[in-house]
Formats: sequence, C-alpha cells, structure tokens
Amino acid sequence: MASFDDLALKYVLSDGDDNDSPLQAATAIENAANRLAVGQWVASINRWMTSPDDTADDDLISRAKALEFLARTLESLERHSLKPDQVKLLVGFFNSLFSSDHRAGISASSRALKQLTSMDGFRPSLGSDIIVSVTKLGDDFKRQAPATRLEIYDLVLGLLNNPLVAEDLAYQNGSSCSFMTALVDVCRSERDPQNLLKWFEILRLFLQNFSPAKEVLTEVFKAFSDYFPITLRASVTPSGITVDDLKGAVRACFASHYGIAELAIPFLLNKLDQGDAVTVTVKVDILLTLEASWRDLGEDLSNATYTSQAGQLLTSIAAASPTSFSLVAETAMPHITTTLRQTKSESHQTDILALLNSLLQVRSALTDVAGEDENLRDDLFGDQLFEDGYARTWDSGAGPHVLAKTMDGMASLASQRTSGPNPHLICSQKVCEKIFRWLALPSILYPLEGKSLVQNASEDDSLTICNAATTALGRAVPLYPPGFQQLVFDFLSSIPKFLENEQADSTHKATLLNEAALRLARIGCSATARLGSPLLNFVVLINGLLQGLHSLLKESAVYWTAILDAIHMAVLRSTDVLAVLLTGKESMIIPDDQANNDQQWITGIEKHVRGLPRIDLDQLGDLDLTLKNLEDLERDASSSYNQFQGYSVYVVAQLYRRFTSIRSASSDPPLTDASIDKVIGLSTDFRLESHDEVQQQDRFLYQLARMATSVMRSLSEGTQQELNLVLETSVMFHGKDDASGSASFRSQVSQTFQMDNHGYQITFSPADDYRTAPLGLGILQGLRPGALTTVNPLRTIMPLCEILMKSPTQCAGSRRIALDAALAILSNKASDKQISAEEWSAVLNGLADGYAQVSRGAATDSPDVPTRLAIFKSVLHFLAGDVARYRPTRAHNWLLRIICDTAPSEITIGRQLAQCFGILVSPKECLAKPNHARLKPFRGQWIYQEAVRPYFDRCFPSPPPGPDQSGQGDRCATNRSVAIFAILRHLKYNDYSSDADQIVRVVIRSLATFGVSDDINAVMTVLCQLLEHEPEHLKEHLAALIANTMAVYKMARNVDSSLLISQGPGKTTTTRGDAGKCRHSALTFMGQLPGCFEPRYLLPHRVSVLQGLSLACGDPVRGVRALAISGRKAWSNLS
Amino acid sequence: MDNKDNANPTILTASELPTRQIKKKTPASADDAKFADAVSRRPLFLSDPFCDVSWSDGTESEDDFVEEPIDEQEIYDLISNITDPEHPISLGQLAVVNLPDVEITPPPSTPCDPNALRRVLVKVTPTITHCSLATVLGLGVRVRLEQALPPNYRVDVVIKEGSHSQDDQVNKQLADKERVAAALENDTLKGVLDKMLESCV
Repeated sequence: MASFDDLALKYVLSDGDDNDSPLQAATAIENAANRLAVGQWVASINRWMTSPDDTADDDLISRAKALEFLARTLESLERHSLKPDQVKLLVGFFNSLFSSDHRAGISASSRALKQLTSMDGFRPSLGSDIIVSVTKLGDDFKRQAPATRLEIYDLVLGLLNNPLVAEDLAYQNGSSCSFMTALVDVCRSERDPQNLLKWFEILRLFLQNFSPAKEVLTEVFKAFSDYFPITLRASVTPSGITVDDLKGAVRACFASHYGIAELAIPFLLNKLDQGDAVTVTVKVDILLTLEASWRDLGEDLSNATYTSQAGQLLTSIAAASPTSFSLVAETAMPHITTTLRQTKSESHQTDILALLNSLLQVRSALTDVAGEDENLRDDLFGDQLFEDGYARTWDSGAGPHVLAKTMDGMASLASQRTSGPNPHLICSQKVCEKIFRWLALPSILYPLEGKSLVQNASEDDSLTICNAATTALGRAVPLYPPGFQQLVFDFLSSIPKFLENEQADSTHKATLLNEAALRLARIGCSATARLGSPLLNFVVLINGLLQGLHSLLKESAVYWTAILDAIHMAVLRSTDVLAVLLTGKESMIIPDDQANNDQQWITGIEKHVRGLPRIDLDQLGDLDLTLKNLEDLERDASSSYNQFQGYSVYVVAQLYRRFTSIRSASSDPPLTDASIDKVIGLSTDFRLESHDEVQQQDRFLYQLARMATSVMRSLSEGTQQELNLVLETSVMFHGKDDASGSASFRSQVSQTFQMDNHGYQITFSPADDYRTAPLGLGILQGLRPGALTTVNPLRTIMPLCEILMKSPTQCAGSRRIALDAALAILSNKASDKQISAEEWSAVLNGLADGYAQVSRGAATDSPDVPTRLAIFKSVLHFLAGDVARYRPTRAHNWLLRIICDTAPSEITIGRQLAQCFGILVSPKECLAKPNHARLKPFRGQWIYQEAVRPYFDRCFPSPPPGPDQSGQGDRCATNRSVAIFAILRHLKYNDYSSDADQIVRVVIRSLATFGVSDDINAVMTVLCQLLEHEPEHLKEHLAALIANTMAVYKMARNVDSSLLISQGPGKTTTTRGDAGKCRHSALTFMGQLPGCFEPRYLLPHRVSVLQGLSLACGDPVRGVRALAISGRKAWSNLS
Repeated sequence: MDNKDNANPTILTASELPTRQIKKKTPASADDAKFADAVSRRPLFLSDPFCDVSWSDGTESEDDFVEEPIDEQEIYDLISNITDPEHPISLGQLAVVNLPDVEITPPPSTPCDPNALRRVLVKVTPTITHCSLATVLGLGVRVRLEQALPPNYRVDVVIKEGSHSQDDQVNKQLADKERVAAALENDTLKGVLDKMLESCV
C-alpha cells in the first residue's frame, strides 16, 4: 500500500479530481493499528507547507491542493475514526491557517473543519475556537472567493445548528455574545445571493437560540435589516436563487424572535410610512414581512412558554392601525380560541386570556378613532367569542386569577361596538345581560350574603375576585347603562333578605352593606355614560341609593350611615369625573370662570328633570320619566357639571328635610326671639332607644353634614348667595318647596332673623339638645366668605357665645363641638366690613366674661371643672378662627394676650388649660383650605410671636421670693411649657427655628418634669423636628437629652393601666395608649441620633443607651420593640 | 467559580413564607383611597386630643399601641431575613429557618411576669446534610437573636435532628459559650456574620 506521502503527492499532481488518493488515505487511517497513522497522514503535506512563498502562484496552488487532500480524506473518514485529542489537534491546525494562510488555506480548512465538527470525538467547546479563528480573517474574508465564503458560512451554520455547541457558546459568551458581534463585523458586506441565504439563516438561528444583550441585538438586527427591502440584480451566472428566496430569508429573520419585535415593528412601519417614496412592490414586501412577524407568533401561542411574549407582540402590532388590527385579528383569533380550549396550565390560561383582553381593549380604542370605512372584524368579537371563550372558562371552575381575567374580558366584550357608520353594541342584549348578571354576583350580591364565587376561597382570593369584578363592571357600565340599572335594582332587592340574616351583628352587617354600596358607587361613577346623558349612571345610582336609605329608615342608624357614605362617595366621584371633563384636571372645586354656573340647573334641577325621588315626602320617584327627561338635557361639559351640582344640592336638601322636622317650640327652650313658635328638631325617624343608637344617630348626622359641606363648597359664591344658603343653616331647606307645607316657618325665620337689612342671624336650634347643630354647621362650613356677607356676625356670635358660656352647660359632646366649630368659622370668615371695632370688642368682652368663669379658680361659685374646660375650649375655638387670619392690632388681640398670660398659671386647672392651647393652631376641618377658610401664610409665625416667644422665661421657676412659694413657681413653669409645646407641635420648624437654643433648654426641663402624658409626645415631636432640621443645636446638650429621654422611656414602661398619673382633676389620666406613644416617640428620637451626629459625640453614652435599648427590646408593644431593635443596631455600630 | 456546598438550593417565593396576618382593609386603588378618606374619615375636629366624643370606628390611633407578647412569628421574622452565606437569598426562602421550628418556653400565650426568664429554641435545617456552613448558620441566628431580644431571653440554636451528618458536633459548638465568644473575636468570621446580618432590618 502506498504511503501517505505518495498519496498526497499523487493528489497534488493530479489535474482533475483524484478521488482515489483521499479514499485510500482514509482507509489506511481507519485500518492503522496505532495512532501514528494520523500523524504520518498530516505530515504527508509538509513539503508544501514549509516556508510558503506567497509570491509564487504555483506554490499557492499546490499548497491549496495539499490541504484539500487532507480535507477530502476527512470527508471519507468514518465518524468514529479519530480520538478526541486527535480532533482537537487537527482543529488547532486548521484554525491556525485562518491566521497564517489567507490565500491558500481557507477553503480547505473550512471543509476540513466542517468534517471535524461532525466527528464523534469533537468536543463542543472547540466550536467557539473555530468561530474565533474564522473571525481572525478580518477584511480578508471578503477577498475570498464566494465559494470559499460559502464553505465558511456552512461551517458556522453547522456549528450553530449543533445544540451542544450552541449551548457552550451561550455559556461561554453570556449575553455579550462577542463571537456574534465579531462575525457580524466580518460578514458585513456579503453580496452573493447564495451566501446571503446562508448568512440570514445564521442570523435567524442566532436570534432564536441565544439571549443577547440589547446592544448585540441592535447590531444583529442591523445586519439583516440593512438589506431590507432586498432585490436581486440580474447576473450572467444565474445561481438559481430567486428574489423571493432572499425575501423569505430576510422575513424569517424579522419573524425570528419576539425579542426583536420592538426594533422590527417600528422599523417596518417607518419604511411603510415613507409615502410615495415606497413602491407598491416594496409596500407589499413590508406588509408580508409584518405578517410573517406575527404568523409564527400565532403558533407560539399554543406554547405556554412563549404565550405571554408572543401576546405582547401581537397586541403591539394590532394596536398600530385599524388595518394591522384586522390583519392580526383574522390570523390570531382562531388560534386564541382554539388554544384557550386546550390550555395546559392555569398560567397559560391566564396569559391567553390576558392577550384576548388586550386585543379587546385595543379594539375598543381603535373603534373610537377608526374612520367609517375601517373594518375591525366585528364578526370575530360577538356572541360567538363569548360562548367559545369566556363562558367556557367561567363554567370551568377556574381559580381566582383566571376568573379575574375572564371577568375583565367579559366586561370588555360587552362594551364592544361595531366599526363603520352607526356604531352599536356587537353582543346581543341577551349576552350583555348575562355578563352583567354574572359580574354582579362576585362584586355586589355574594359579598352581601357572605359567599364567594369560588368555594373555600381564601379571604385574599375572594377579595381579588371581588375587586376584579368591580373594576370590570366599572369599565362596561358607561357603554351599557341598562346593565347598571339592573345592577342597582338587584342590589336594592337583596337588602331585605340581607337584613333578615340574624347570625351577624348589626355593625358587621352595616360594614358589609357599606362596602357593597361603595363598590356600587365605584362601578357607577367610574366614567360618564357614553350613551345618553353623561349623568345617566350617576343619577340612577344616587336615586337607587336614596331608595335604599328610605327602605332602611325603620332600622338602626348604623345602616343609614352605610348607605349615606355611599351617596357621598357617589357625589364626590361623579363631581370629580365631570370636573375632569370640564377642566382636564382633577379638582373638586372648579374656578368660577370655568364653571358656567348656570343657575337654572343649580337652583331648580327638579323643574327640568321630573320623576326624581323625594324621600322627605316618601316619594321614590319615577326612573323612566327621569331618564327620559335626562335625555333632553344639554350635554356639554359645563352644563353637565352644573346639572349635577343642582342634583347634588337637591339630594342634600331632601335628606336635610327628611331627617329634621319643624315642631312647636313649647316643649323646648325658646329661641332667642320669642316671636317664633316653631323650632327645627330631629324627625320622627330618630328613635331614642339606647345610648349606642343615639351615638350612631349622631354619627349619621355628622356624616350627612359632611356631605352637605362637600356639595356646598363646590358652589360658586354667586350660587351660594342665590340659593340663600345662609338662611338654610337655620331652616334646613324646609319650606323651600311649597309642597312641604312649611313655607310659613321659612318666611317667619327669614323675616325675624333678617335684622332690618343688617343681615341674617344664624341660629342653632336648641331642640333635642342641639342635636341638629352639626347639620347647620355642614352648610356653614362650605360657605365662601363672600357668601357670608349677608350674615350679621355680631348677632350670630353673641347668642352662640351665650349658649356656650352658660354654666352648667346645656350643650355637650358632639353638638358642642359643632357649635365650637361654627364659632371658629364665624370668627374666621366674618369680614371687617360686617363687624365694627366696637362690635368686635363686645364679642371679645362676652368671651372674656366666659373666660373669667374659667379662671375664677377655686371660688365657691365657679362651675365644675368639665364645664370650665368646655367653656375655655370654646373661647379658644373662637380665637383659632381669628388667629388663622390674624390682624395685628391690639384691639383685636387683647383677649388672646390675657389668656396666654394667665391661663397656664391658673392655680387648680392650669395644666389642663395649658394643654388646650393646641386648639389655637391644630388642624381643623372647619378651618381647612378646601372649606374656603381664610388662612394667612404667616399665621404660624404670628402666633409664635404672640403666644410662645414672650414666655420662654416663664418656663423656668423663678428664684423663690419666699420658701413657701417655691412649689407654685415650679408648677407654673411646667404648665407654661405644656402650653408652649401644645402650640409648637403644630407649627412648622421654620416658624420657631430662630429660638432653637431656647427651646432645647425648655425641652430638657420638660422631659424631666412632664411625666408620662400626651404632653411629652408634644415635646418629642418638637425635639425630633430640631434633630431633623438643625441637630447642631442639640450637640451641647446630648448628655441631658439622652439621659432624660431614656428616663421617659423607663417611666412610660412602668406605667400600668392601673397607675394613673394625674396632675389634678380632669383629663390627665395616662392610658396604656398614651404610655405606648411616649415610649414610641422616645425611641424614635434615640434611634435617629446615630444618623445625625459623629460617633465621638455619642460614644460616651453608648454603653448606657445600649443597656436601655436591650431592655426596650422586650417592650410590650410590637412597634416599639422594632424601634428598639433598629436603634440598638445603630448604636452598637458606633465606633 | 466559587465552590459551593449546594449550588442549586430550593428557593421559596416571598408569598410562600409565613407572615403575620394583618387584617387591614386595603382599598382597591389609590383613587379609592382618595375618596374613601374624604367620606369615611373621622371629622378632624373629632380626632382632636381634647375631643371627648368617642365613636368606635377602628381608626383610633391607640390601636397601634396594642400590647402583644413576643411570639414565634416575631422570632421567625427576626431571623428569616438573614442572608445565606453562600447565596444572596434569605434563610427563610431557603427554608433553613422555619416557623414550626421556633419554640418559646413558657409559651407567649401564658401570662407571666414580663421579666421572667424565657427560652427561645430555634432548630436550623441546613439545605444539605453535609453543609460545611451549618455552624456559621447557627451562629448567625444566635447573634441576630441576641442582638434583638431583651436580656431575659435565653437563646438556644440547634441543628434540626437528622438534617445534618454531624449535627451533634455542630450543636456542641453552638452551645459552647466560650467557643461562640471566641468565634466572634475572629475577624474573618465576624465579617461573614456581618454580611449575613446586613439584610436584617
């Protein structure tokens, strides 16, 4: 047998193809007894390889042939013939040629390597080496003959097709995929059609099998998208490849993976968007490429792994334009419904439903913008989809998440409208009703019955389902109002049965009822109705809730509040939605120039809309008539807003009338004017059953008053005047409508209290122990200062003061709070024009008399302590209203000065009085900005200058003039500090920052003297403010502050509920809650210290603090323990 | 690459970990909260500390200061967020610490003097039976609890029986106060423990 050398020589010298020599060589290798044969075989071409002389073409040709001999031999070798190490050596050899022999070695090397990669002994890790070698060709790659390049492409393709090699490449390169960027660099300018087919195939494989980083993705995307749209030049040597083959290959790249969708879709749409610059052929190409991008995706849907991503891409394509939607829908919808039937897991089902739901939403959005000639495939989104898709899932007993998606989708389906002219609902009425009936169960009806849609569902799951149903209904209702009417009707019908359930107590039932009613409000008021009047659903809802309230009047007031809160919520939400329509932004109160304030709507909506309920007259209304009338109303944003304002006023008025009544004054204390023989009292709906029930009733009255405030404050000044709301505070809308038969009372009040054109006197009826006072406050609180110009402040305030200063008091509890608030409002909103300096002085004198009773101390005729405190609080409320819009003259402020000077030093109840000083500045609803209170920007600084700053000296006991008076000095100083911190806790840091050093000194003393009480929390609040803003001020006092704070903690820890710390009579007992708050604030401060100071300031205290904190880790309150643990960590990290 | 004892441990998701069930009404959306606040909130002037009208509506701030004893769940919460020395995953997620393996004696439900001695026993389950870091795990749990519990709590950490091939030896080390103290003097070990406890709030 010839040696390898001979065979090689023979092959190199042969002119044509010598098939024999390689074959013989292969056989010799296979039959060889030892490994030497392979070495001899490779060495056989040595004579051509050594000292290659590139200049001689002959050498080149013979070297190429010699290498070809090796490659051809390998082609003939059996796959198992080479050992792994031999393969490795050979790969190394051929790889080296890519660097060293660009002219002769490439083609044969590529062929040889291709063979080697298919050998059994080939290790996947070598793949990476081969690709790296190939990329070393650099610019010489394009100088290779097309056929050689084809060999290389084949080689790379073979490697990428080998899953083991691909896996190894992915592992070695990670997301950077550097081998690919190098390849893209080398192969950039390929022009040969046949090579391009291979190159595109490589790119496609890469995109499908690797997870490259974004930059790599962009690079690869560029590598094929640069060719788009691809054409083919006529060639003298036809390759047999058509332009369609090339187009198909490029499309395959575009459609290869969802990852490039975000690049591909904008790119293609952008190309499409170039107008006439794009020829029809190209456009077709683009569209077909787009189609290819999603055709494969449709198939991906059935694969659970890709559903979500494929779905996202499909949706984004569909959303591009009506045309793309209809293309996508046609291809995807059959896939979706089929897949939905055969889903493999719950998450797959959820993904498919999510896709379907998004398509429905996209369709809804497109219906709004599509032209009349656009086709949005109405046929695919009707009853059939409901039956095939959602109904099937609904019945399948699916889990909460699938159900949530199903409900979401059903609601979207029910609101689908046809494309083209005269849009109408696609689904039949029967299907829509079914959907609403189904959704009503988990959102409204089942929760009332304490049931869940899914048996044995956890509380969380039930809540998920309930919320999903509510949100879904909220979306469908604007487009299908009849469904909402049915829902309200179902809710009302379920109430009687719900009340019969005797297992639950009334508070729990009221909570359930309230939650269901609030959900109903959320559903009905999510948006304006799209069909018919914008107010349609709002009116249906509130009318329904009024009916519900009416049906509950025989029950406890706790149910009234449950429904009333929902009415209030409905009013707020509806106003909000309408305000957004009008102004484009969310605001409950519209500037006067934007709201049209069309008085005809606001003052007399009932004249335009007939059939509204009047529950004060036990009339439940005629909904059909109302809906018919609503249809005829103007529908522009401004009119709708005003119409709804009118409707809200109408609702509040009838509620006020329903729950109050006019009765003879004989049994009640007379009003200030004896000429009126009637008073406003509570209606007969209020039954005095038990203390609890009375509390619930009072609560209801407060909530009604708050609703009135919400409605009234949104009205313009002119409207408030036009409606004469000032009078309504006294007559509660009685007699406004002749039908109620109380017109005479109204005119009587109106005349009697209109003081000779000096304005109205607002009166609060003493009937039922002033229980209607909150209702009066409800209206008064919402009035703008301008609307109060018709009030006579003096004659309103004086009688009010008289009531409040009376001892023993006739008016206590919540009613007194309402009257106090009224006093604050009047002192805040009354303008100087309405009340002269003398009159103001008279008012202050009246209050000073009241204060005199308080400060009369232990004198025998002084009232009891609770009354004294109540009177003092009323005085402070008046001052609080005034302080908010302070006037700097002495004539206005002498009472404030007297009180600040003397109250804390009062002998017996000085401390309690001092605690009340917070009232001057504490946040109050009656003095809130939305309620049109007059608030001057520097009020905080002003009160600080008046009531705090002058008194710092008095916070320390003065040297005792005599041995027997020292104790009093101490107590006065403490009381003074209490008063100061009661104010400071409500001020901003900037208001008092100038005296920080002074305050720190008072803080240190107060920590040691206040004992465990809420007063200490005020101190800690101020201390934490100091620490947050300017810790520098605390630096010098750290030892005292730390020791005192830890002592406060310790003291509060030792407080047991049985231990009452009391500094006198009244409300000074310390509860467990107060003690808990003390400990909480003490540890909050301690925990913040390490973050605010350099360790050197704190290290001296570290050991003792850590000791205290470790004990605090056993605090009985969990929240306090957590603070102790984090504080301990911060302190132990100090070094 | 690091040579880890268990390169592929089973990990629990956050929702699978035991938590304290806090019954709070959560509104469905922020939008809801905005309106709910306006409607159902106690009127401001009734929340004033000087207001003596009490309506029980569940918004009392004193609810935040309810006294609750340290219970097993609280111990679990203290140690479950310690980071594993090998993986950036918490001990709770790796099921190294488990709620049923926390024991307090006398039980927190029995009323007794707040300063009386209590014992907390935590059984640690390493992810694999030959885990070389079992001692470190136990030490981490022990240090965390000692830093977070008051002085009247005695902490015992043991390896759960049958979960480690050398549990006896590891338990001995963990129970030996002097060895624990010595271990904490070791800077390298201290570094590892600090890293583990970094994630504890």
